[in-house]
Amino acid sequence: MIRRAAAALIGALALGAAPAWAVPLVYDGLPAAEAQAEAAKGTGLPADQLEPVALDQLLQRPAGATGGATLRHCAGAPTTGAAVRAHLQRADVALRAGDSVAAADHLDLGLTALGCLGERVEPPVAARLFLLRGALAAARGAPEVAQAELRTALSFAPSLAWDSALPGDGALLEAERAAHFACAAPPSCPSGAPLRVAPAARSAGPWLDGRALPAGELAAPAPPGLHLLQVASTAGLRSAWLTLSGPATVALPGAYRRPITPQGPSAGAPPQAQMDDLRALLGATLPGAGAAYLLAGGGLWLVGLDPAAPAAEALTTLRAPPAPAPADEKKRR
Amino acid sequence: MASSESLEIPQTLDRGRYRVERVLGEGGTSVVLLAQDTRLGVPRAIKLMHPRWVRSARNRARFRAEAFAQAGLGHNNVLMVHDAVEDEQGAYLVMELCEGDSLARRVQHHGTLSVNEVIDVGITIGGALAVAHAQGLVHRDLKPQNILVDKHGVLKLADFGIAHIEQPGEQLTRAEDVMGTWDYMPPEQRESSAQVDRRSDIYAFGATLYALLTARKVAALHNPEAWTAAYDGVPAPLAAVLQRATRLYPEDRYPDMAAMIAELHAARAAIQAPPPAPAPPPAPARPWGLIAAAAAAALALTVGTAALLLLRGGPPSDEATAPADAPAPAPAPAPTPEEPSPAPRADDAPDVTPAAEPKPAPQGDGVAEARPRPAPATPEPAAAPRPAPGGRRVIEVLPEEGGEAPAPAPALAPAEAAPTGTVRVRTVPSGATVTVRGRAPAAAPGGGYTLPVGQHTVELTSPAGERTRLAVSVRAGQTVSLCWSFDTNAACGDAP
Repeated sequence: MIRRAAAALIGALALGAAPAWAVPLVYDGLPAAEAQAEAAKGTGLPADQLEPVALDQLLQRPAGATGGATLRHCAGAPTTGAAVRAHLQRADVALRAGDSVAAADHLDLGLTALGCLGERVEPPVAARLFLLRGALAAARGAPEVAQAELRTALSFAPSLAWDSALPGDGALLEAERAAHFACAAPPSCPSGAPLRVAPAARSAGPWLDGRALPAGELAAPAPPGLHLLQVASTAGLRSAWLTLSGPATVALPGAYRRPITPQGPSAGAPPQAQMDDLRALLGATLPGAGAAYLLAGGGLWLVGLDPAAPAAEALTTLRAPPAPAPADEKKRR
Repeated sequence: MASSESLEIPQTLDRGRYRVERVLGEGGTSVVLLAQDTRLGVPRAIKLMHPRWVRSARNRARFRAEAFAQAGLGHNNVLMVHDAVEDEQGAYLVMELCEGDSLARRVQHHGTLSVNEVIDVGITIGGALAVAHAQGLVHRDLKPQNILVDKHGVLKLADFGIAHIEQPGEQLTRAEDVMGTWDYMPPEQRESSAQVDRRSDIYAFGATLYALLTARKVAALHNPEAWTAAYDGVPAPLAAVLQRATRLYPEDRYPDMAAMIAELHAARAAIQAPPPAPAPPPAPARPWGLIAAAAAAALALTVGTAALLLLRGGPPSDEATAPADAPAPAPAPAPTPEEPSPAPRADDAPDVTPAAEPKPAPQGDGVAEARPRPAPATPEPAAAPRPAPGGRRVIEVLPEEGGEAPAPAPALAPAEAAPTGTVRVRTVPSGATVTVRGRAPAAAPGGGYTLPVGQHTVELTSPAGERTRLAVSVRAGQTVSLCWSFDTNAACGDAP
């Protein structure tokens, strides 16, 4: 026990990190030790209450989700659409031969390949893969699993039709379509959840189930369950599984462009969109933290990350940044 | 003979050796029968596989693997498999009959388990899982329905029916369709059965313990966003164990069951630790002393707990802390075959039910396989729980609905509230109002405020109405001092 605690502490010290229970301190433009000392002075807290994390480091992290969503990134090498098609084809052949176990094998492998796609997904292929999985689950007497599979299939291809060669009559598919895809406006969608992507201003992508997500909030809520999220990066396209269970925000740290932090002496009230983006970034990259301190440009803020907290409590200015120097003074310098 | 909806139930099995009496439960792939072993004169539970399921060579291989794996475990907290038969009547497992109840029904009818009981279940069944994992067997369908309590109060892990054999090159369920029960399934298993390993069991086990403790839905436990609400009222040390067990990524979970069991022991020690001494000195920059003291206290309590395990053959139940003059609980009525335990679904509920005949005391709770037992350090308390046959630990077996005087379900006792620390606040000017989540925190003895362990946002309002917020992290028994100046011209250190 003592050895465990000591080892954990030595590990933390060796990494130069504050204890894991400290409040995150996100800093920008100064060294970590200086930031920690400055924030301790500014907050009146002991330095070991603050865990410095560089903003640059957060911006290099992979996409993350907050709210009712979790993201699972592919842990393997990128795959191709051809690999997914091959697994689907083998599954179809096995199913026609009446070997549902082999079919399920190939579908599983296809699903694993799909989650690691290094190129844009082909929605019809992915939809059929989930359709077959749903049909097999229904035939096995697992309607709950079947519903989830079919919902994901419809998310890839909302007009997907039942295949008469499959076991069952497709009633489950139509029920899922009616429940989640036949609604025009959010109030009529029983369980869809709004999905927001941050930052609001960004270049191409990301893509959810093959479709590019518009800036800001989705026009229609995304149905709960499994979705394929694809994000473009300098290293190529990356895929991840997004499991949605409620209103959620996906943050793409690599897509953020400065300025990210509040600017100027009136920074106590930054634009709402900028504030939302900042909270999304910190929430997605600092999972489990209820709040974080932000030290940048001479200003110090407390950013509330609890999505249940009122928006008015999202940002507390502890020290406003200094006013920018007048233009003529800048010139003289 | 009775006929199940989709399967003809034979009157006898194994050339007359087993006389089938009735159906106990039925699921998608099998039916569970109550049968009498005419040779030995004891009742048995027989899991008869559906012929259509057995048609697949892979399923037959899996059936054999389940039988070999479960029979080979030989653990007192795993339902025993006596025989596996494949003959002209079909494929079936002859199993120990468990005349008791599942923990799912226990929670459903009598309420959630206490924190102590949940830790007991975690350590006991965790031990059985550690043994299974050590033999390369992953259960893959852990849930409250699959943990049974026999009439002697002994916990039994059931239904290795979809177990996965970890053997390179021979993965019997390697890529079969998603199996297991959705709510308790780790995210990777929901996506693909190809990805499961022992850490998937650790997730499902964490979700199971959470369900036993709260009776709440468990599907999104891996989402830290949900933790504040999900773990409201759960003691922080236990919450921390369950949160780590149910992390989204397997690599973030406990690497093995032994590590989780060790943390459960530590959590019990932390929960039972006395409250922090009033007004400790300000926290040092690196809290070596406190960590060492806490570790020493936890070690002492763990050794004590382990000593009790040795003496009783299992971890202590809540009753262990009862005063010496407390009356022993009344023995629970044991269901009889005529007054049966609820018929389980063969897939979703326990296959069978716990042992009819008392067995020797278990040689351990399974932890022994994972770590050495410390020597007994404390004597058994005077008020020991009602001894079970064989000296095993007792979880009270509650009677069926309509039975006699069901014991009320244990609630989360106030004494088991989350550990706390102290926050001291100084402001310039003095006299600021302090609130946390809109409420005044409890005053700590010796000054400051008592807050549960964890991160809190403290709101300060000056006498002039100025407001600010500060986030602080509270640790058990520690004091955090903060100082805030509302006057921008006066540093906090200048205050009198």
